Amino acid sequence: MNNILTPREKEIFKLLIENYNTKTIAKRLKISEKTVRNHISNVMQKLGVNGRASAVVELIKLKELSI
Amino acid sequence: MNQILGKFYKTTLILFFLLAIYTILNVNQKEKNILRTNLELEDITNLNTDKVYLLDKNGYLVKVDVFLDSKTPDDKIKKILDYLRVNKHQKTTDLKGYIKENIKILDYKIEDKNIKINFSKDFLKDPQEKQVITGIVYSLLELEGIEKVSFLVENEPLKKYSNLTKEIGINNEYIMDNTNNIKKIVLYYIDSTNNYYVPVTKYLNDEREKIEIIIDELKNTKKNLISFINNATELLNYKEEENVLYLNFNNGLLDKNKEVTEKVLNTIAYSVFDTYKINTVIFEINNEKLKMIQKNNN
Repeated sequence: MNNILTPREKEIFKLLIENYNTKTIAKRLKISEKTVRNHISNVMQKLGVNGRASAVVELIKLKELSI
Repeated sequence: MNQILGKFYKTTLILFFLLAIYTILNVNQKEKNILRTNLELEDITNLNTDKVYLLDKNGYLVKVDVFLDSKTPDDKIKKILDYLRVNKHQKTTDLKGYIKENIKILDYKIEDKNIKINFSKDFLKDPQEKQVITGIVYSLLELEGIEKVSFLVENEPLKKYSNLTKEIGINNEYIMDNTNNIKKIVLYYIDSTNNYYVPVTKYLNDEREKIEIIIDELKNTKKNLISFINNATELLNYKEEENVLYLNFNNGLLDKNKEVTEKVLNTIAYSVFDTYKINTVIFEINNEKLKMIQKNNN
C-alpha cells in the first residue's frame, strides 16, 4: 500500500489538511477547481471511502499524510 | 501396616500439593503487587526505571514502569523486547505483551540513534502487526538517545516501517467530520484499574490552541479510561517561553482537600510533552507557582 498517492494527489491532500479549500488549492497549483475535485475524488475511490475527512483518516493510517 | 503407610503417603502427597499451590499463588500475588503499584512507584520515587508499553484488558497500550537491570544499551534492548513477549505477563497481571512466541528476533543494531530490528518472516503474518509495531516503537523510544526505530524481516527493510518515531501515534482515535482545522493531540488518561498512564493520540477538528483542547478533553473520562481533572478546572491563561509552558489555572484544579494530585499534574504534563516540543511545564494557580515538571522525569 506504499505510494498510494500520485505526487499531485499528495500535494492536494497536504494543502487540504492545511485548511486550504478547493478554490485556493486550484489557484496555488495553477489548475482548475474541477481538476482538484477530480484528484480528490480519485483518491477517495482508491481508498474506498466516502468523503474527504474519511480519506484523510485513511491516509494518516497509511502514513501517507502526517498532521 | 500397609494401610497406615498408604494413608501416610496420601497425606504427604496432599500436603505437598497444597504447599505447591500456595507457593505459586503467593509468587504470582507478589509479582502482581509489584506492577499494581506502578503509579505510586512513579510518583514517590526517583528511581531510574524503564518504561515499556503493554496491552491492558481493554486493548489499550499502557505505559508501565519496570526495572530492567542491564549494563549496556544492547542488553537493555534485548530485555525490553523480551519483556514485550506474549506470554511474559499473562499469569501475573491484567497486562500482556504482544510479540508472539513464534516470531524470532534475528538481530538488532543501533545506527545513528536508530534501532534496527530484524524479525523472522512470521512477523508479517501477525494480524495485530500495527499494534505490535506501535508498542515496540514507543517502548524503545523511551531509551535515552534513541530517536527512531526501523523494522526488517529476514534482513529486508520494511519500507513502511522504517525510521518510525512517536509521529505514528498510539491508541489512535479519529474524530473528524471534515478537513478544516485538523489537530493532532496526545491525551494521557489513567487506565480502568487506576494503575497506569494511557496515552491516546487524537485527531479532531478544532480551531482552538492545542493546550486548550487538551485541558477541555481531560475534563471528561472516556470509556475504560479515567481522568481526575475536575470539570470546574479552567485554564485562565498560558504562555510559552524558551521551551517552558506556563499554565495558569483557577481553583478548579484543586481537589476537595485543596490539593492537586500528582496524577492530575502528570496527565497534563505528559500530554503537553507528547503534543508540543516542550521540555518543562510550570503549573500555577491564580498566578501563584505550584509545581514544575520536566520531561526527563516522566
